[in-house]
Amino acid sequence: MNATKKCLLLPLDGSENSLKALAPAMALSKALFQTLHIIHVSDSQLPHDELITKLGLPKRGIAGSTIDSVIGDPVEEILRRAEEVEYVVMATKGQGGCQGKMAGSVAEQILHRSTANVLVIPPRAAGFEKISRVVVPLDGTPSASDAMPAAFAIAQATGASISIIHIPPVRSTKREDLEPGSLFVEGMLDESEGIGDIKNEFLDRFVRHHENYGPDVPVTLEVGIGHPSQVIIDTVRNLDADLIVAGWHGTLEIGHAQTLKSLVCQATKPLLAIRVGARKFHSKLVSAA
Amino acid sequence: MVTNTKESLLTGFVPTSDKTWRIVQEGYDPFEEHDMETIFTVGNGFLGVRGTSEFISRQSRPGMFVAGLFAPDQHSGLPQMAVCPHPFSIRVAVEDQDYGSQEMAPEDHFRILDLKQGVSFRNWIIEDSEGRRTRFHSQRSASIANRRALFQQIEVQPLNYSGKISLDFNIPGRSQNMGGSELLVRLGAEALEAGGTLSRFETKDQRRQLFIGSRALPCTGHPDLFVHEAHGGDADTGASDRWSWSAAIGETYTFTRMISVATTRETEEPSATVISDLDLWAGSAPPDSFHNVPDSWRELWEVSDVVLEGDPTIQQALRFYIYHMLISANPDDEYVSIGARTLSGEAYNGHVFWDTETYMLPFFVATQPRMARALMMYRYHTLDGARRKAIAHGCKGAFYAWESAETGDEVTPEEIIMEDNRVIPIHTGHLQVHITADVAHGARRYWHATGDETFIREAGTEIMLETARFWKSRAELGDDGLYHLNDLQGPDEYHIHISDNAYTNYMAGWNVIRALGTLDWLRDNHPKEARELLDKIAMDQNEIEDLQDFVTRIYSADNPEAPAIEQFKGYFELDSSTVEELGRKDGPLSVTLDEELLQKTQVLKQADTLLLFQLFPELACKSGFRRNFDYYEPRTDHGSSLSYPTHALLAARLGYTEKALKYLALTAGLDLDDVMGNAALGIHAATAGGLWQAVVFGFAGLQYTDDGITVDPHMPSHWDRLAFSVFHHGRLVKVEVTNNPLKWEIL
Repeated sequence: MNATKKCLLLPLDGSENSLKALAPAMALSKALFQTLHIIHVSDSQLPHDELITKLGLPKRGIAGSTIDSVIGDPVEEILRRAEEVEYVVMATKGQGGCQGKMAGSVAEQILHRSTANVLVIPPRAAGFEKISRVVVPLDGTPSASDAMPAAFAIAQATGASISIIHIPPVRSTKREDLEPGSLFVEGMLDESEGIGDIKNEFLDRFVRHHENYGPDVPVTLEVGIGHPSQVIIDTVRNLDADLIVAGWHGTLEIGHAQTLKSLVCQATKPLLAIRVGARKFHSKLVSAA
Repeated sequence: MVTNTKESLLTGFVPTSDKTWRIVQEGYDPFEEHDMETIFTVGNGFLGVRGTSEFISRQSRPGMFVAGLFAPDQHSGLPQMAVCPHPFSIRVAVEDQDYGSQEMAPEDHFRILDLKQGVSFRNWIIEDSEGRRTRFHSQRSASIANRRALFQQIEVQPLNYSGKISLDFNIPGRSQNMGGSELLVRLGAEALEAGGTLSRFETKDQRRQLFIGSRALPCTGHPDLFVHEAHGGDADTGASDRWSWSAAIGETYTFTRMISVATTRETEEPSATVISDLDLWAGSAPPDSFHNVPDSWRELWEVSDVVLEGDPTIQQALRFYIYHMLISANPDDEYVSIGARTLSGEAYNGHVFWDTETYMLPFFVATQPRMARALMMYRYHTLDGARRKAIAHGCKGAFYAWESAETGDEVTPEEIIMEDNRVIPIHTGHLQVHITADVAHGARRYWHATGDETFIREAGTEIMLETARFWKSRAELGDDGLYHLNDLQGPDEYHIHISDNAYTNYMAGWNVIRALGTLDWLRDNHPKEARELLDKIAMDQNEIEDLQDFVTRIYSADNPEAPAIEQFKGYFELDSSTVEELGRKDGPLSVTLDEELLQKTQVLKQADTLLLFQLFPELACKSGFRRNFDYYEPRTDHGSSLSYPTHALLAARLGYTEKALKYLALTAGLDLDDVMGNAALGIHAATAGGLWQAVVFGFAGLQYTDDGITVDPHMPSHWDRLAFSVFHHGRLVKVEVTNNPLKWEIL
């Protein structure tokens, strides 16, 4: 994420599906006081009126936004402009994906290659006009919690609350193979009295220490057991949440980002994918052996 | 590795070089900071200070804990160990740029906890926004000679600039328990005439006051170089004892600091006491912060060390956990005991559990009997609380609190209310009745090993008799003519509302037998005191005869035809699948199985019946020790940190060496490797004691018998030598076991 580029990019291809991203993009733009840049990439430059008509936008335009017609390859042009923005907003089609690959090849490539945060409107998702509740899935690794600053920024701008759903991994790996600093609430679930303590530790470690954390944003923590994407989808439905904010490592190859891929296909609410960086800190206890 | 070059930066105290005598953290990770704060705690049984950075930041969970300083939780009203202000806090400004609590990534960061000398070292470099680089090095310790005293030394070295530096030796005006509650209110603070500051706090219920005195002095360079100012500040700034000077590039400037802590719990004149401590220290020339530290620790380690040659990892963990036990107990205070997470963290609110008597006490009895005595006297002084609990449950005698704080009244929460308003009832305070016999067992263990007649005459017999009469009143006489203990919970917390838990029934019977035996001893040797005691507790001959009858008729489940001693009535009718068969991968089954389903299986959370073989090694030959271990071990989920050390100990005794080493490694790494994932919340005190027991009672096979001490070693092939000391009836006995070929000596 580049915090210095305070604007959003909304690529539209003229399809009804792509227009699903308009309302959430406008809502986010308004809440964050960021300019919305709408672009259409095609083989030819379109006059403004024709562009408005093709994209299905209101004739009077959209306040606080710019609209451009760009010639070139859609993926490359979107990526080029994505370097200048904080958020890219895109609806996905659900073609083919959802059976192993992700939905919408353009969206997949933007997600894969862009360093911007990408707000994806999945095929089954309705957009939002306001955000009251944000769900942030955390698996108990420090890197997943890199999604928190973006979630706080949105919650503070919209007055939304944040519901963290912690889904501890079903682990067959040894603890020493896990990301350092990981914390899983599951270890204390059997000790009822300790739940409060370990939840507090979880919130301190992954939530409260972020620079833009403020007590003005209500934060709750729930623990979910099961397949991560299904737990997240169920949580969003149960809480009637408006947005999912999730960190991911930026690799879409087979075997990676399974949860993200499932959410892009199946989530019923928009998903803001935050690419998390490499760990900056390293610490170890020296063995006596 | 910490290189010699780095360590050569350290002046004054130099850390012990032997790796098994120290814990070293290299680097810095904000996500592991709470774990490190726990591990690098310094203390002395009166107080404990987490290894929090001198520069408190958002990543910090600072905490000083003073034993016995409780205040009511704002929601439940139950006593909660108060988090006190971080006494080692320092604020730094370079050329008026405040380093305060800024988010800075320290370079060249390392910590060393010198277990042998009781000193924690830390080194780090900070680069500010102007590119100025400053190296800091700190040392801290808690005095054993004067338990109110904390010492700190800090070195500051500007690496690439010359300029004004100011160090504010701060005592923060606020402190927060987990979740943000403040249990202490600052009453005020002042600059002391002779230098330093005095800060006064009060618990929110106004029952106790806490006084923290702090004084720092420069001890390098020319005195004229430094400008000093001190003021009390307010609750937001804290008390400030500030030294400023013009620093020259490359020069190292050293300051020493003494902090004295006192409360109205242990002294009527805390303010004068603290000031006197500071004056005495500052009066020495030059003030030597660490003067008495190594001598005190040498004396402790001479008796408490366990030497294990051939396995440096276990050796290091042994010393690490022995260190943490030694800084958790105070031989001079009979009114406090050790909380579940020591004075290193606030989990379980600092409450005292059965962990103390069952897991930690054996270490103290064997190597620090004065500390052991204080721990058992705490149970004597809280006997009235146990009496009140018994009455509340319609029983007689003493029913010890499952969770105990200052008075001995039950302080286990009745329920936990979750964020979604689900109410989770907590049964342990009512149902884990075995705590009462565990305390009695501790009292008897202490007497048996030390021969401390004063204790058994003045306190121990009363504990034994009051706990014995509880059992008779708690039991129900069945149609079969036997006494049954119904509706309870054993150490295995997966099964609740059970009857005739084998562990509890055996412990209850043992409690009554030993109480009657102790009474007989008192009658024989001190008849007048015996009569006075019986009058005091209103126990007549009829009741004594009832107790004698009780021990002959308490239900016992030991059936040689059964696959094992039945853990509780009906246990063998449950699904007998093992943990592996039920699909545990990693993490307790209670997470993946519905609670009701779990109760329909024989899977247990932690050692339950098997604990009998740990506490009573003499049972091993007659009750099918191996048969029971082979049955229960595969059905144990190890959902509690108490489970690994017991299994290590028992597997070692049975000669299951590979298995024993597996459980020993899990025990040794519980906090250092964060096996349970919750080291941030404090040291697992029971594990500390459990590791010592596993090595001494398990691998060395030490037993206290009526005829003295015996050993029955089971040494893994890679262990070369095991040597330790234990007290027996006031005599220090040295035990040495060497391997290949196996030989042992008791000297």
